[in-house]
Amino acid sequence: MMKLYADIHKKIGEFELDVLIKSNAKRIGILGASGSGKSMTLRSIAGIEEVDSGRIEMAGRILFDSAERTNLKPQMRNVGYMFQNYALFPTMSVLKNVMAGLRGGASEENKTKAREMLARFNMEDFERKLPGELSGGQQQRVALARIMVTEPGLILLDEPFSALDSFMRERMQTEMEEMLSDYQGQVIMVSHNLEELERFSEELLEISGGKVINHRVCNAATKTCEAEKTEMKEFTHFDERGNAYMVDVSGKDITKRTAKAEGSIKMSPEAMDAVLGKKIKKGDVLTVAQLAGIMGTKKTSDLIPLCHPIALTNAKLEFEIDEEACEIKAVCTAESEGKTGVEMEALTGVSIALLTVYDMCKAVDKRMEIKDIHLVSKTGGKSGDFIF
Amino acid sequence: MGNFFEIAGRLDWSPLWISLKTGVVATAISFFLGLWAARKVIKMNYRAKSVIDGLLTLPMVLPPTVAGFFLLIIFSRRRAFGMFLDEQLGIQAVHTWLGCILAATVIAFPLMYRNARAAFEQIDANLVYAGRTLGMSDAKIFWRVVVPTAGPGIASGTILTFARAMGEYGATSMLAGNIPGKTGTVSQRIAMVIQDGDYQTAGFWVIIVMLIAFLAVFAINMIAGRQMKNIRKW
Repeated sequence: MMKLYADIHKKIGEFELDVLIKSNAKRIGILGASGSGKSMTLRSIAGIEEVDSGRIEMAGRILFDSAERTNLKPQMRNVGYMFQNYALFPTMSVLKNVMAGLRGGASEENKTKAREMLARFNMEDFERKLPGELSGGQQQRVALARIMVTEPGLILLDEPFSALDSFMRERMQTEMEEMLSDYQGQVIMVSHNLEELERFSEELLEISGGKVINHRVCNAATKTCEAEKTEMKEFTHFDERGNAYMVDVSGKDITKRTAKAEGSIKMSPEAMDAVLGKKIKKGDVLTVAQLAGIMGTKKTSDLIPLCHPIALTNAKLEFEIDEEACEIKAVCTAESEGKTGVEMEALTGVSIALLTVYDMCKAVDKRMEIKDIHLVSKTGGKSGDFIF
Repeated sequence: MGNFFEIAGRLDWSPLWISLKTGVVATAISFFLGLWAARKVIKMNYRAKSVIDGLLTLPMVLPPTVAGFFLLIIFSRRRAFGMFLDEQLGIQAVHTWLGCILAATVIAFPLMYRNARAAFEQIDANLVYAGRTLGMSDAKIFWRVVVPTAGPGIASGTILTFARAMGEYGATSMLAGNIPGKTGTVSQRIAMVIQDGDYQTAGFWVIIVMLIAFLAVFAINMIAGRQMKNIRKW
């Protein structure tokens, strides 16, 4: 089930916000400069900014739907929002701040709940302090405790580190990861800092001028995010309207070129078990290798000196697993409408995917063999169709 | 100095109690009305805000006798509304203590309203938004977050309102009159004894009024001063 769906249209004077976010990812990053509309997007989801039209849905619950005239108050949305300046209530003690969102006021039950949350964030000794007496990092922990205690279904972080100096920022990034580690819901973080977001996100959106201009999928192992130009059902949770990468593939058939390549890696039965059982420390080997392979197809011209840069319209990478032979076969298909063929792209994709498998499994088995990398078929272009 | 105690001994103290009572009641009414009006006005659009704010501030900039004129027109028993109040509800404002309260409230209300509004406008809107996303009701946000945060501004507004209400003269003399023991306030008593040439009694009341006024302003400075510790001298 799609967890978050937000289709937001809003016009303020000359500025027009028009974004679509669909995602199942637990950690979503939104990158953008100030004035790009990224904070406005967050505020619209939380319900503290009015939206002209669209629909916002969270885990099957409709928060806003202009067609059905549904518009839940922010109080009813169950969405936690951490403000850039934390917005702690200045006249309330830390404990009262954390209890502010709980029903039943200062009951013993609420006090216990709030104290437990403060203890989780190592702030139990500060419960009598006023927010003004705390450091920026401590304020942030209280702000997060105050949100978490209300058990929101979605947490929105608006530039959470921008109010901190560079030393604290580094520390709070690590702390934030820890604090959110056992939170089961989705978290959206907005920032103008790519590095911060690459570290945090599973999926990364870039907003500029009120539009989503770019969508990237992030690699948990390398903490980097790569643009996802291809149609891969397993990974594409986003499909931006007006997305620059959505080239019309059904276009001219005459210039369409495809190439398919394959190759295998042979490994020990132990390594095979580890891959299938997903026991490898660095994470799900095949998912990472699949992404790496697709990235490889797109970077071919950077790697092979005489290869032209080509705009791929499609790149697909699949694995066939032969458990008995302890072999994994990678099959890569590349498509483009360019002036040169795409066999080099397909071959590079296969190679990079297999190299990634090797890299991730080498701790278990160093004798793995990468072999039989070859072109399977090729269509379009002057040299005509080719089948291996 | 002996003179001072002699005057104090033979003095009719009723004006002080009438002024204090009037001040307290008028301040209490202005406090809630002022907060309510300020909260409504800051939510209005620019145009409506200018009009309503102008009307609410008018009693502060007009001569009090003009306010007294309108109050007399409204509450006079010779006119429809005053007649209705008197005959149907038994409410009389002219030449009664109620008249003192009405006059003082109308004149002092703008001070409460304007101070509350200025204090509300200083508040970080994110505090209100944070309250909403945490599930707090708007009433809870107002009384538990907004009012305490705007505390110093509201406190100084309340004290100014009290001082103004206590000292009201023009509108009060027109609506409530100067009936000793009933509507005779300190400021009216001062005017009366001066007409009689009794400068000693007048001077005595002046000292009392100045003391109260100074205490009021001193209280504001103490409250506001706590937040101004960090301001650098220059």
